[in-house]
Amino acid sequence: MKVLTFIISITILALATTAAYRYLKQDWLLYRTAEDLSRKGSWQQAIPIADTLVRKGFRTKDTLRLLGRSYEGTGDLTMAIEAFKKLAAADPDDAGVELELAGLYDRQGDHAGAADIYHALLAKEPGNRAVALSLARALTALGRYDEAILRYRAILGEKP
Amino acid sequence: MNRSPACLAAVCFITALALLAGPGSPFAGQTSGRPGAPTVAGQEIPDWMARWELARVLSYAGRYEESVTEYSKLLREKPDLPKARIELAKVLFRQKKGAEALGVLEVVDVRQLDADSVLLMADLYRDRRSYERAAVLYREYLAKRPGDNPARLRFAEMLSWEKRYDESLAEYRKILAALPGDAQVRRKYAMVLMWSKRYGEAATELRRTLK
Repeated sequence: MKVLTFIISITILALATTAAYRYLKQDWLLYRTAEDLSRKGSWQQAIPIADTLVRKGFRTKDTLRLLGRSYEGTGDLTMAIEAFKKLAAADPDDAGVELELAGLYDRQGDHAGAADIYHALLAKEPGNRAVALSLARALTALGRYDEAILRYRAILGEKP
Repeated sequence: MNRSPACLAAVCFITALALLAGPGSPFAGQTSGRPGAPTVAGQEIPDWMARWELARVLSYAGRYEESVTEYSKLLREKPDLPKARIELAKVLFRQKKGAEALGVLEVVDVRQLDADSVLLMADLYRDRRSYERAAVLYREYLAKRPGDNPARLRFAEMLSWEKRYDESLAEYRKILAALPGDAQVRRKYAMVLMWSKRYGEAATELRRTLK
C-alpha cells in the first residue's frame, strides 16, 4: 500500500510540475512550438509565433534566428535577411550569423552585399578557405574575374 | 515482483514525463529546423574543386591558355570528370584548337554530352570532313533542339557537300518553314535544287528571293 501511495504521489508531482511550467513559462513553450513547427517545415505557422516572441524580446537571438530561418524556409529571402541583420546587430561577434547572412545575400543575387561580408570575415580569419571560396564565387558572380582568380590561387596556395 | 519500490517509482516518474513531452513541452528536443545552412561553412574544400572553379573563371576572363593548364591539372588528378573534359574542349575550341578539342571530347561517352557539346562535336567533325560522324551528331542534336536553325543550316549545307541532296533539301525546307522570308537561306536552297538538277524549282525559288 505504501508503495502504491508513493508511486501515485510521484506521478501527481510530475503532472503538477509540468502544469505549473506550462502556466508560468508560456513564452518558452511558444518558442518550443515555433521551433518544432520550423523543424517540421511548417514555416508559415512558425513565423507569427516567432515574430510575436521577437517583439516581446523573448530569447531575442534564438528567436531571431528561428524567425530568419523560417522566412528562409518559405523562400522570403528579404524578410530572412531582415531577421539575420537584426541578429547580426545583436551578436556582432558571431561569425556564423554573418556567414548565414552572406549566404542569403548570395541567394538573393546581391553578391556585392555578400562579398562585403566575406571580406570582413576574411579580415578576421584570413586562413578560412570556406569563406575565401565563397568570396571567390561572389566575385565571379559579380564579373570581377581577376580578383576571383587571385582568391582561387590563394586558396590553392599558389602565387598569382 | 522483485522490483524495489524506488525503482518502480522512478519508472512511473519517467513515464509521466515522457507522456507529457510533446510539441510545446519543456522536455521536447532543442534542435531547430534549418532550411538552408551556409553551403561551405566549416567544410573541407578539396583542392580539385577549387582548381575546377579557377579553370572556369579563367575561361570567363578569356585567359584560355591558363584555363587549359588548370583543366589539365584537374583532369590529371580527377580523370573521371566528363563535365570538366567537356568544358576543356569548349575552351580549346575558343582557342581555335579544333583538333585538340575533338580529341578531348572523343574520350567522353556520348551519352554524357549535353546538347551544346553534341553540337560542338558535330561542328568539329564537319570541319574535319568526318561527315558521317557529324551527321549522326547533328541529327541527335536537332532532335533535342529542333528550333536551332543556324545548326540545321550547317547540317543542310554539309549534306549537300556530300551530294545527299534529298536529305539536304528536306532540312532546308524545315528552315524555310520557320524562316520563310530569309532570302539567303532560300538562295542556298535553290543552289541545292540546281545541283540536284531540279532547275524549274530552283528558278521559282530564286525568283521568290528577288521580290
